[in-house]
Amino acid sequence: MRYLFIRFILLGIYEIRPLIKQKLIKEIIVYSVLALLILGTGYLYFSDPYQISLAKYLLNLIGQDI
Amino acid sequence: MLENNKKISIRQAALLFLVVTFTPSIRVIPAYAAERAKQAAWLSPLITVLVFMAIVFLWHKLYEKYNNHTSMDIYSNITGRIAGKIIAVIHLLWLVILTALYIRYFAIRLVSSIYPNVSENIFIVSLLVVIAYTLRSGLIPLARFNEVIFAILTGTFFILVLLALSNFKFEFLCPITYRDILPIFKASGGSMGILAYFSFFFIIGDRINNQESIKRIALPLSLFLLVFIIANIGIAIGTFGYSLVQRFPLPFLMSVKQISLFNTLEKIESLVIAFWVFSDFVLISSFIILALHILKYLLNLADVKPFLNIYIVFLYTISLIITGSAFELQKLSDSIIIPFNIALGVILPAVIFCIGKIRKKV
Repeated sequence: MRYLFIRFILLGIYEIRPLIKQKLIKEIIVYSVLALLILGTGYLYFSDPYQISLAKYLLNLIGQDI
Repeated sequence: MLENNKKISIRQAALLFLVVTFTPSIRVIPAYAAERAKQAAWLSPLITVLVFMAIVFLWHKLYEKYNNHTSMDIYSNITGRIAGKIIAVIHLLWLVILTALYIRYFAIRLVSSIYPNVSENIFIVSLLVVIAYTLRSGLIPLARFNEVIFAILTGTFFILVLLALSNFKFEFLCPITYRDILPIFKASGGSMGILAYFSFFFIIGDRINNQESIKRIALPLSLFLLVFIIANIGIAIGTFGYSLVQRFPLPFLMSVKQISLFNTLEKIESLVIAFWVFSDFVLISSFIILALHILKYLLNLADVKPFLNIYIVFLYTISLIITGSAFELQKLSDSIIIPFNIALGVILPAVIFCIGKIRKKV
């Protein structure tokens, strides 16, 4: 998780700079939302890599058990 | 010459669609069809291709009126702005799930077939880095690269089918009676769920030239798909029989593993693996382009290039949490992915077309 986070911050700094320079507010918001989603899903996975399963949730949603 | 150098031709779009269907077809269709229609499964593509032709003609009719529009523009125009946006959001979410699913399948398949002790992460990260690098150049280089890939994939596939005929037993495909009609209809669902990707490609409808000639490609495209899917199912069932095929995770690979020519040409399943890697590359790249195009449509963005890397990292994390095992992925494909693909790629365009007719917008 730590390495993902560091790489991700570096990528973010590199990519978001031109957006800030051009004052593309909408693009900066979209970028930030995607970044937050990555942090959320990354945290979910790395906190318990062998338990988390989106497939299981989706199958439970339609009433099917694994 | 293309009218606009930022667009691809309808022929290139059709070839992209065909390569995108390669991997899922080989993975899903034989087992899905064998489980439902048993020895008659090889006849199920007849139903699928008829429905597919209807969908092609439906898009042809839509594009007679809405030339140079995306499918999202068309849906929005016919159903209204809010409903159109909701449909676009559903498509976007679905493409995220599909892409993550195929990224994970790509890694699981390599690990389960030839690299049993290697971490899935290595394959996922390598593939995504190559895709991120390639997609910087956009859709056109991908479409041109795909033309070469299509020729190689098709040639390889049919050579493998010819070689696999040495183990083929025609009695495994018989008997066929009138009682097989209903199971054949049920079995056609698997292939229909994959051919539904055809409709997805109109998300980039504004980047495709000559949409009005969709009708011209309908017959060759349908004939190719018919031969391809029948060969795909037929060779698996003809080699092992339906009872084994419905239990195999990768029936076509198993059929290719059986190929032995004069005891010299053996173990050519690596060709199938190469096949998968190329097809998965085109599939995942195409779906990323489609998803970013919807994002552009939804938020009226000028350019989506700045989001390419971050979106790929997002897909990476989603592919990690999508499943814990290959078994769950298989179950997800059969129970959710195929029905929802049919809903978005076959039923939705048909419903929109009917609404358009009623509201005199088509």
